[in-house]
Amino acid sequence: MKNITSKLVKYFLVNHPNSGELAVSRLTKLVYLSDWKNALEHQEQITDTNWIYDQYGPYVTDILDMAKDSKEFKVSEKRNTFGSKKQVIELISKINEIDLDDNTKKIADFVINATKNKTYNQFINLVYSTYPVISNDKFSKLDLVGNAASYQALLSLENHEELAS
Amino acid sequence: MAIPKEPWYLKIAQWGLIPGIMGAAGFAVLSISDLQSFFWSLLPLDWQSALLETPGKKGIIVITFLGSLFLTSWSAIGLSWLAHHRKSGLESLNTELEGAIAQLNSKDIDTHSLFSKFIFGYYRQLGLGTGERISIYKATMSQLLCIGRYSDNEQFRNQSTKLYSRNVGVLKTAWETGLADHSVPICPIENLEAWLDYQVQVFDFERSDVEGIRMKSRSFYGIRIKDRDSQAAIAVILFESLSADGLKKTKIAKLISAEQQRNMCHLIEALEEHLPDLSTANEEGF
Repeated sequence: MKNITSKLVKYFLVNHPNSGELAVSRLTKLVYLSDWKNALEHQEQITDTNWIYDQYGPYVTDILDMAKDSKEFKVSEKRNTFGSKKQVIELISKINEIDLDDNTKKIADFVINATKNKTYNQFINLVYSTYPVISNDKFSKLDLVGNAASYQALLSLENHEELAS
Repeated sequence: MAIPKEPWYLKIAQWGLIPGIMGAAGFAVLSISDLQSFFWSLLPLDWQSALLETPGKKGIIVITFLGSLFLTSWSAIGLSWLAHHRKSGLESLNTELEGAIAQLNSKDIDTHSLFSKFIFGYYRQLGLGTGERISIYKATMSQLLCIGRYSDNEQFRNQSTKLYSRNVGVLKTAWETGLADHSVPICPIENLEAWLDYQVQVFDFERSDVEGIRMKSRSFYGIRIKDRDSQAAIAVILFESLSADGLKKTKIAKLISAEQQRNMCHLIEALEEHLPDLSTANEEGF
């Protein structure tokens, strides 16, 4: 399953319009959104990441570790205008085609399109507004599949109430 | 953002105006013979004799020409260099400002901590203790999201969940009617089963849900917060106590005046962009 995480990260790096500027934390959250979207639509995550609600939202070091261990990625440090450091994952050599199934590509494209024009604040607010983050406590494990079921139940209740009123 | 010290060559370039005037004056003297005679007449006679000897009349013209050329070149090159440097400096400053504004706008505000500190003020003013707690809940879809909480008791400050139904309990009463003032006649320490039954029968809770409640309160006082037009409910502030008479409800009612409610409303609305909202994610397909 590490392979699928690697492929998904590659897909973002190849297809995201701002891939050169994607900090590790933002890239990790894109993978989280993909896992969450897939849990909502197909009752399973794309990757086997055990998501944790960290101090700053869903975060795991798996993606950074995977990039550091792989010969296909390089992790570099960039500085923004104010000199703050950010870690960026880049592909070592150019890739044109990534071997991903159509569903994963569709989910990844959905995530890219939903977030590509968002400012940092809008992006973070979207991640923090997802059901697993909003309904779980900090430093807890996020059961995306279980949360997807609870969220669907909540949404259907919502629709039911709307119809009734 | 520190302003960098200007290098020496820029300081010289800034003095380009005076050489420009002097250079232009030099060329004017060279081209107008009346001016030459005028300036020549201003010189003392011994200077005139000395200058005619060395460098001589032609020499004076060459020196004046070269001097004027140097001064006008200094002026032209210096001023255009300065203008270019200032322009790129301004562009870089503009980029930095844009970045600063973007960074300022994108500050990740810890709203839970902010609201918890906000209600801490009420907690102190009311003289509440370890048996009490204040929470503030904001509406998100059909749920209430706890956006701030304070208690001196660490056990009650932490939350096992952040989303609460607005269709059960005192939150329902506060949400629907504007005020929830309720005291539970049963002490959970003396009779837990009866206390649990009361929650199920009176508040419509699922038994499994109340069994997991950490703070088994006996006294509640909840106030609904409306939006700035007083049209729609947006939040609820809830005071709870483990003791049946642990809350000074008259004091709470006086403290959470209409003005204080408006303040809370303004604070929530001002931080709207930073507060998580299920409907935000739902509208985006997540």
